[in-house]
Amino acid sequence: MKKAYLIVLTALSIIILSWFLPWLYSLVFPASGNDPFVAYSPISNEFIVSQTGEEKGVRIFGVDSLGHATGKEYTKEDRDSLLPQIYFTQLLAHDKLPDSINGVEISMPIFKHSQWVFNSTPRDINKNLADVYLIMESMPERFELEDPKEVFRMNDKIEFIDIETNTVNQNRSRRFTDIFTDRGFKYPARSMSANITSRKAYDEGYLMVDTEGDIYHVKMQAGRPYMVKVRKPDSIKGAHVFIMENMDTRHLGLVTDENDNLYALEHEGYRLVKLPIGKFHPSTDRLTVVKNIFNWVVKVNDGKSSRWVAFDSDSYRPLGYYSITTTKSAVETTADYLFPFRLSFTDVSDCFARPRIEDISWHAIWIGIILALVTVIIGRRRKLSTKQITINGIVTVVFGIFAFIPVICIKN
Amino acid sequence: MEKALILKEWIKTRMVFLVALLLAVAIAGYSILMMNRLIELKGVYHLWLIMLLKDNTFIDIIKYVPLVIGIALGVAQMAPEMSQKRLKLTLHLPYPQNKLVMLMLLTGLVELLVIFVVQALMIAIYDLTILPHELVTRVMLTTLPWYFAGFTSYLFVTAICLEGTWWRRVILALLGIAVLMIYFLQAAPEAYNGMIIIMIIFVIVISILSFGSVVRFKEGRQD
Repeated sequence: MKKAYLIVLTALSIIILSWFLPWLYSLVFPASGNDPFVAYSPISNEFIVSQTGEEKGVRIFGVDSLGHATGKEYTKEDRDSLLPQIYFTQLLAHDKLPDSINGVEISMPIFKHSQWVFNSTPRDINKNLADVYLIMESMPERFELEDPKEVFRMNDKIEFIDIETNTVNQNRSRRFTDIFTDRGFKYPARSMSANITSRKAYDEGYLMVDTEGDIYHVKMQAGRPYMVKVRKPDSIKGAHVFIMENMDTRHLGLVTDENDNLYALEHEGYRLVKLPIGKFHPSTDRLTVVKNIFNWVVKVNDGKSSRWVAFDSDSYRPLGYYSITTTKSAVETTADYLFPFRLSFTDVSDCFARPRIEDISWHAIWIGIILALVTVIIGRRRKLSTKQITINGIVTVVFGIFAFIPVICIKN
Repeated sequence: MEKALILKEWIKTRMVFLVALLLAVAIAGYSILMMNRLIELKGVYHLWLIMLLKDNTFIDIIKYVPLVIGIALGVAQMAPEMSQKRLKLTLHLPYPQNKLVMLMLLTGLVELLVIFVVQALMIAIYDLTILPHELVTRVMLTTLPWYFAGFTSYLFVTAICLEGTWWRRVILALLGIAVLMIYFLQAAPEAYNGMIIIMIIFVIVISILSFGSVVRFKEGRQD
């Protein structure tokens, strides 16, 4: 029992220290690093990169369509003129907003109507859902959207539950189940997306992907089901869907397939258009889409690098590509030499608590060996057995400073 | 002998047990009243919307209650053993030492289980009247790490109380605080679903700490 006690106490100390020490280190020495703001200029046909530095303030420079710096540096005023689709209020205030750009008529209402921003983070995907889903009435009697009055669950059929009475609405459940069967929906859904709020102009209900990768648009209109199966090639199997209810009603949402390609789903005709942005994996990558009357700028960040792709708003023709790789700061490099690994229980990319070992570093073996030698010297002074000294040394070499502290503090 | 030992542990802890049970019931009742009040003021729609859109379970108030109850019961059960030097006498009983410690711990753990089950049942039964079973399961799974925190705090407190040296008590206390922090790191509903097995194994493993403290006490390691 005494041996088991010592093993448990030492192991517990190593576990706690491998979580606590790297956390304390990152708290004392925070590693900063922000991605620049990148937009595409319809005037100069280049990326305009606004990089916030520590000393010089904001540095604004141009990047060509291949991602190379053009060497041009800009002032904030230059940037306002080069990106009228973003800084139109500044231009309007100084009476510098042109009537048209590249033959396209522009004005503040046109800019506002045609622009939207979409964000997706891994944290939105990596979480446990409640298994019941709110659904709104898309055609409310009094025109204004109202908060949902029902939820639905999906097993081998769809079942509507009245919130007020907490009972199943048999009629609606049957109607929806019938249409789901009729449209060939295969339970359960792989992905569902809705934007549940009454503070929006209109409601488009849900985009859903069934278990076979087929994509559906589902909504409740005057209590009755509306369901459309999106026509697509069989080779495209939907994986994730993201609904959008923008002022510009051209797009119904975004879709990813099993091969991590991203598609825009157009409202009219439910046309799927592959976006030229490369691979995007929603459960690990952050996606930001900034769309305006001239172009889309899509940013994908996978934690190690960020890339921006610009393409034409109307034709989806690629305009340019820019990427940066995140380099380790001096603080992070030093941590590699101090800690052989890092234990964490949470992560910014999900809503789960579970142990995960990250940042395994062989550089820390040297500090482990030095600390192991210290444990050997201390062990001899404490007149420990050779077996005990050997075990302490090996454990310290493997777990480094995380094992050194308990080996020294827990005397026997 | 077992009955006598259990009775001894019950006599030591019954007052704290009853107060803890009352506290657990009162706080569960308070959270139910708060939900009821919200339904009266804003309607049940509002409650469902907040639960589904804001990831709220409306029982945050009970979060640290199991932890506090675990500490209180551990202190009530084990502190008299050390302060009144009863442990030496207990260990001289004609009964195997490990079985004796196990019986003491089991008595405390069963008392905690009763308190936690009563509290969880109160919440679950009320929730079932206003929520579908999916949401009730979600609420109960969200409370699970809090109850495990209660068992863990109890086991750390017993190990600390039974330990005879201050230095080791400090180490155990620091480890206990760090371990208990883990149960409250992620506030999202059902965040700990993937750790349920780990939490069960962990509670079993850390009970060894109390056995170790008794072995050290018997070896005469005391300040």
